[in-house]
Amino acid sequence: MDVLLDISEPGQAPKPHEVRVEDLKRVVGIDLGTTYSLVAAVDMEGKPACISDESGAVSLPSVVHYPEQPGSEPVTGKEAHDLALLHPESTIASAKRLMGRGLEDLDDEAARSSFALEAGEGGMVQIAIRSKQISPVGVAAEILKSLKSRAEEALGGELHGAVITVPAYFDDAQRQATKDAGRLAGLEVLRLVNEPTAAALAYGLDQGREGMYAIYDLGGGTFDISILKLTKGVFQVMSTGGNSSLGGDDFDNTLVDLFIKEMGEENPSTELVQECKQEARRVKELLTEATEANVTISRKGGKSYNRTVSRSEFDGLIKKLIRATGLPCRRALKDAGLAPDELKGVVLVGGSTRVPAVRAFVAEIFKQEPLVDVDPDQVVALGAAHQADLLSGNRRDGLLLLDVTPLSLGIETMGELVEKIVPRNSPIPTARAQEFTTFKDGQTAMAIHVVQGERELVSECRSLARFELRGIPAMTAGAARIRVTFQVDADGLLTVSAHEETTQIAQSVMVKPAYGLSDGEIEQMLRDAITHGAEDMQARAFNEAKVDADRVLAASGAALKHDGDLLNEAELKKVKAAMLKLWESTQGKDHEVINQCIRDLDRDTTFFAQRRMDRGVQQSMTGHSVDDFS
Amino acid sequence: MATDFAGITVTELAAEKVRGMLDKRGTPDAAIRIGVSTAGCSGFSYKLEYADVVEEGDHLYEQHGIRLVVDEKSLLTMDGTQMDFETKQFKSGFKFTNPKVKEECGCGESFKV
Repeated sequence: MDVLLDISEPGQAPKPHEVRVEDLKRVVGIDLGTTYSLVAAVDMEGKPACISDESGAVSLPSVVHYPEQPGSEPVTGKEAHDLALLHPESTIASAKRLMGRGLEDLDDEAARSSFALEAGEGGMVQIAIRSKQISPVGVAAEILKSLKSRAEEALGGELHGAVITVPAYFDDAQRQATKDAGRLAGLEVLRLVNEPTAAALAYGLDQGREGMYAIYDLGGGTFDISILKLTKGVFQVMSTGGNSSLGGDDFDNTLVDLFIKEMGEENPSTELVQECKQEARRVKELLTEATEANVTISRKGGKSYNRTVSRSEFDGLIKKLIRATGLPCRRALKDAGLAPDELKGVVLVGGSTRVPAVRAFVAEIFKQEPLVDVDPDQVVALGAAHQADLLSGNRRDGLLLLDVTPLSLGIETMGELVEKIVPRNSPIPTARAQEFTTFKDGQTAMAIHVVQGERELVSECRSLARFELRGIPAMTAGAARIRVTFQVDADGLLTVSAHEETTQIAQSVMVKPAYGLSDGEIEQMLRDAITHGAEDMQARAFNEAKVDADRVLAASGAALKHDGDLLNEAELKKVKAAMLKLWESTQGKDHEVINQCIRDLDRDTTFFAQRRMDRGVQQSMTGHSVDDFS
Repeated sequence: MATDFAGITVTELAAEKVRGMLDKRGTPDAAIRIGVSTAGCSGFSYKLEYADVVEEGDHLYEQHGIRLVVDEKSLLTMDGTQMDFETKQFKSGFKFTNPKVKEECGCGESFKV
């Protein structure tokens, strides 16, 4: 391998195999597909391009063969694919269908494997090969390793990281499994990106008009439709649909069935079927450009089967299969609440979208011509490479990288509650401000506790920083105006500042919110927020009621101390009883009860408040200031 | 001693790149130090740095408007080396062709003489 060097500052030349900051640009995008996988990087001209192997092939069959000889390394790609016929039980294909799944989760397609599946630790699917268990994650890791070494060869050194794509419908477990595979392959997984999002990025749609986009992905064995919404440069998946056992291979099979029928073969041999498949694929590919293609299949006894297939005949054969993609498309549109003409664009992904009849059908369903300029086999990997390049900070055009906050950021308020200031998924850089006030009379300092998370209670969120704003002028509770500003820069660095309006005193702190938090932990925090949603709202309502109760009790107590003489004994007893009842309610758990007691106390002290007001008015008229009685 | 060495050569393209990088660094008159260090998995590896000072005992070569300095010890293992610049699809950088190299490690980052 050629080593190409950079000039270093004196004394800072890197040691061999050392990954330096300057090498951050060695990042790739990986399309880890069910049947094929690809790796791409941004080339010296700033354009994403797929990296080929020594033979010039860009796509690597997602197949891994585990040889019998002890100590031998697994074989991947085309070599493994070719071994599948000979060793079906020790050659794993389509492991992606098994990733992060339990045995009972598997769809029919995934369960129909040539290799043995069993339940492993925690019920996860494991593949049994010669009394050994191999996890789907391990299989994916072998494919990733193969792509990694190919990329390192081309990029001239160790990779700093990779963006790996996953189907939009992948759940947390499947996403985690994909990340684990990356880690196992020695890759730093910068981010998982949804396949349809990667395709949209490859077309640069993130720089284009905001709105809805459809991504139509017809691969070899799967069909996926996704509706994405673009706002402020960030894609959000609105709906997904598809068919996990429909793809280009089915197109081939209609031709294979036709050939075998016409040959009059009742029980075709495996070799004959294999040959028919190859011819079928060739014919399908030829018919993308040509209007007819010739078939020649040699048979026993020197005979051969010859035939011409026209494009219209082929279209007729696959018409039903293509039409089958229509229903998921219409459903995905409906789920996203859209009419076809509301889409800003339609992107085609997957080799099978080269078939002219497929393109025509997509145009008909979505009432517009789909985007076809980027190679549909490579578009996902190219978009992932583009994203990896953005994340690594390699932007050549100096544009800001658009990223989002993974979790909400906020501060603690009375009652140990969280006030969210920057909601999760906010595109960064961002700045948001909110006004807060003092809780007690004469309060001159305010503690700012910065937290991160989706939960309502501070104790359930992650504490990021604390600081105090001092020197607030003494005022009555609620009179001070303290503006708290959250600023997240393009690197995710958070600056929180607090600023008191009248005196202009200010205080700030800087934190890196993502620091020390793995993606897994972020996912866990999000999951917790969803599972604890109801109890969190309950806790929030209770704490808010309790804060109110404390304030009402404090105010009532102060009033009794100042103006208790305005009440006779029976009245005093009544007010005190209502206060006691309220205090007792705060020891319980029900916020409704507390709120009821607050209303009761309010009602029972109305006449008292009236008398205090009268006295206040009289005293102010005799030269006292209202402030003395506040 | 210096006359015993064939010295280091640099291609015009590599020199042009070096000049560009020196300008960008704001030190158009600085030299470039090349050398070998003993770290690596197969003996030696190359070092390429900016050189703001020329040390005593350094060998100095001027070609295509740039100055190259090499310490004598390094010269023993890389005399006759040509420095070139290469741009491939996914990478670019300086490349050394060293007639003394007998074997390279798999990654090419280090070599034996």
